[in-house]
Amino acid sequence: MTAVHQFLPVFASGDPIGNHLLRIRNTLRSAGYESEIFADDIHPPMRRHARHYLDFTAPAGGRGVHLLYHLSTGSRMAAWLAEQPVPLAVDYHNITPAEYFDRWQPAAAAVAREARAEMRQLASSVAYGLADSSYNAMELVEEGYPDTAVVPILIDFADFEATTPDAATLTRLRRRAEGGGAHWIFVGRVAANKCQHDIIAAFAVYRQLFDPKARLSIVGGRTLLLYSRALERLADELGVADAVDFTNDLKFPQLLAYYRAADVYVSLSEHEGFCVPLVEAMHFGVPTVAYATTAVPETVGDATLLLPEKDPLEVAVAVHRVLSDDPLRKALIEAGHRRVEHFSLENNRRRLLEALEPRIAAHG
Amino acid sequence: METPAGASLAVTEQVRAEAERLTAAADFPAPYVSRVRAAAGRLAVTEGDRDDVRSAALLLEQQAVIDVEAPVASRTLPQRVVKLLVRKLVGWYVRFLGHQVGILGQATGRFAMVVAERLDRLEADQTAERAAMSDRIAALEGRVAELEARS
Repeated sequence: MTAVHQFLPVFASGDPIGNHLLRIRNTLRSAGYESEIFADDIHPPMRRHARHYLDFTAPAGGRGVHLLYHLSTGSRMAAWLAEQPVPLAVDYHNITPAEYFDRWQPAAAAVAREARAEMRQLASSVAYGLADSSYNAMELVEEGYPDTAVVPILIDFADFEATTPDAATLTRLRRRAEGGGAHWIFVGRVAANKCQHDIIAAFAVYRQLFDPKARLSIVGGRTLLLYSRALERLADELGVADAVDFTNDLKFPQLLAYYRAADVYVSLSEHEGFCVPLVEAMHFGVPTVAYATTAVPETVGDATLLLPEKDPLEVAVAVHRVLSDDPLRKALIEAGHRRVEHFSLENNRRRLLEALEPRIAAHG
Repeated sequence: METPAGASLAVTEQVRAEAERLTAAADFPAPYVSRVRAAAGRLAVTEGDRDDVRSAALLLEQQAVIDVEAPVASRTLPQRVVKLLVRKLVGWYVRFLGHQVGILGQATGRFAMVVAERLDRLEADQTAERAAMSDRIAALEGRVAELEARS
């Protein structure tokens, strides 16, 4: 039996890449492949799904085993994988450019630069590549990776329906909604490339011009402490601190409550390799407005109001338009549901096998 | 940044026109919107040259703020409890130190900004002086050429 084993540096629960690996493993097993997950740092809830990467032993002769490395950061694992006597593939989820960390966490900037250098070095050892988007695929090609296919990240929308939104969070958000005002939401780790500061700026202008009772929820883990605090100071400086809700370390049912209670999803991120939360918002029928950059346009298709610029005034006007123009709002929501279907687990599993099987056959 | 296609393009053009109309209106809160743009602009990614003194000084100013409330998020509850306990036990000491380090950092940031401003002024003066000197040399060369032509 042919085996395709997956490797990643950090295997964490609730992480889109971690979930992606589990779904790839299940897809491969259903298709008749042997498949295991190996990682360097395995968080406790994931220990039953994975083993340490040094536990892997390549078979003698090296035939019938492929390794799929999930590349999104630097890792000592990369050099070790390059030395294994079996075909190596990468699934590229993008590396955030270092300049987004320079100002807020120089150590993280150094890690990002090392990760890019490592990615460049790994290219000559890789047989083929997968990428979440054409944008990511283009970066692989630019770094010298051969034979690259696009396979979007595997999302199981059934999980959203199978889980009940956290009742306490939903009640709290709905109680706040009774006071009136639109509820903006953004989901993603607090990081400079996600540009939450631009969302707060646009939100402040929106409140000033259109809706003084509007609220904003910035949902996501605080990975850059200094940037997080700069965001809080910005909200305070612009007089909207009481209307901005910063959340950290939400559980999945709480996240669902935020999506359920949102009126509009706004993303002004400058760097995305795919952007899962935009599609999640579409699943919940939340209209989306986003800055058209990197992989965002190809992820959202025609289901998001894409903005070529992100001046706070223009973003505020765009959100007001989406919330006040009923036909436009409905059109975006309907297009969103079609986009969700486009990225359904079934469709993406098919894309995965269509990309992998001929390459596995070609490389033995 | 990409140019949106189709319906998005039509709506974004209307959005831009609406933004322009609002800006021209008598009751438009121009000072507030300018303040918002400036405040958000300060947090944008800096892509200045590596020898850009002002950019380095701004970075120093941002980094000078010390957070003494160490994060306690952990993978397990016991780890979180231990971290909380340690934070509580050493809180008074860390706050005392953090306060002084923060003041030192802010003073250093202020010093760096003053140096950056002074450098900017010196560079501007030097550029102006160089331009004046070039004009003067050109005038003198012209005068010499004129005198040579006469003799």
